[in-house]
Amino acid sequence: MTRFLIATGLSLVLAAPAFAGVPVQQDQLTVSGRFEVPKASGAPLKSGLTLTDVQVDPAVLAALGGKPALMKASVQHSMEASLRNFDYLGEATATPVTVVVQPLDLTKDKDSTTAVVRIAFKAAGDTDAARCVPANAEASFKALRPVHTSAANGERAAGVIAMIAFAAVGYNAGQLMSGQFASATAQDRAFNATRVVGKGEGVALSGKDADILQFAVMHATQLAMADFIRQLGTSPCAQPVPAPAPVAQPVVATSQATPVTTNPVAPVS
Amino acid sequence: MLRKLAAVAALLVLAACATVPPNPLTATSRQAMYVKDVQTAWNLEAKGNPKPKTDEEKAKLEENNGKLDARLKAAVTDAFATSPAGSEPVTFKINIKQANPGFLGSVTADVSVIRISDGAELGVYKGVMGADTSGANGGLLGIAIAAAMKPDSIGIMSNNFATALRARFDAVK
Repeated sequence: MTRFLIATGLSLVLAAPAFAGVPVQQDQLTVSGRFEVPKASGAPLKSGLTLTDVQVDPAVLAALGGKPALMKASVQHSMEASLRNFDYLGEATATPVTVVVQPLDLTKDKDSTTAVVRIAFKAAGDTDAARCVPANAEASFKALRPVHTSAANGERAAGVIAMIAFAAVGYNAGQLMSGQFASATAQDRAFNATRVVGKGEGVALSGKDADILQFAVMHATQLAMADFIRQLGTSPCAQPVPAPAPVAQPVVATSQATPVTTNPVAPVS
Repeated sequence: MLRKLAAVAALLVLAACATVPPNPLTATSRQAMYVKDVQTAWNLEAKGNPKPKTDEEKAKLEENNGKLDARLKAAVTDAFATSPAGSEPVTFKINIKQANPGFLGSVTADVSVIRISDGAELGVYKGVMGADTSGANGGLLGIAIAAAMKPDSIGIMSNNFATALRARFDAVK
């Protein structure tokens, strides 16, 4: 009986890390090339901005997990990496921009959490680049509670039973159980990936409320940054400055306004 | 069965003294990319792969290889879904050299990282291996119990492969 109790306790301890929430990583917040937003086309924005100060609302930091100071640095680094990916980040002499990630708007129900993240930007100085920086960016993301499939639940149960059975005969089956749990998680994720979701929605990786909130805030923050970069790329400043027309010639409209193509932000996988 | 046991035993023994090959990509080039596509190519070597004797065995092997193909792509895609987060799109091409899908099975492949913009091969992670070692640390009895539990071996070896590839990709040197 003692063996069975120890085995059950051991299996619960080993299972715990599989569900423990982990802080969001910098790459998860970075706007990568997966997002179909335009790159900087030229002066004054190309390599024209630098982030000098990034303030993040404490509730946003708490939702993203980890130590607030480290997460704040992670948010700043991800924003710099995002600007670098689209050729907006410049040297220290570029136009300084301060960033404030404002308090969250959250809407929750039993199957989802929707986060709205608003970011305010303020460029210093009276440069061309400073006048081109949009003041606000905003995005909403709805995180859906994942569905656990019966097949995956069976795998998890089998893993726990195997762990107990092994321990009862004196063997450590932690490897088998962790393999089963990873496989069950992969099965669930594969199934949830096939769910039809709307734009700005996604299925969270775990069903814990904190993890669903983290998933919503993480994607909303990333999408808000993508919105900022999209605004930079579609602003009048992003268009090449036309060469001045020769004085002696009559002014003729030689170019037609390019139709504005909205590049929708790619759905988050 | 004995062959499989010997293979797993050898795998565990060799794993202990294995050295990790150097990372073919620099940290800078890794950070600059993102994985846009994962593809597989089957170029099985003559040695080390199952040779079905009957049509039934052949059909089963083909079915399992098909499952392995899909699970490998899904596992690797998942492992690189959000990271790296650069701006250069790349394809991971999994060149499968050895595959023995099933209980205590394993898969070995070379993974080429190909820059999509010009098709250049940036580097190759050679001999990446994923294995299902369910119950192997419990000796013969462990393997017997694991076999009775009918684990999702193809899923486990695919996830193990993706984990190994991720570790090789993240290695500092």
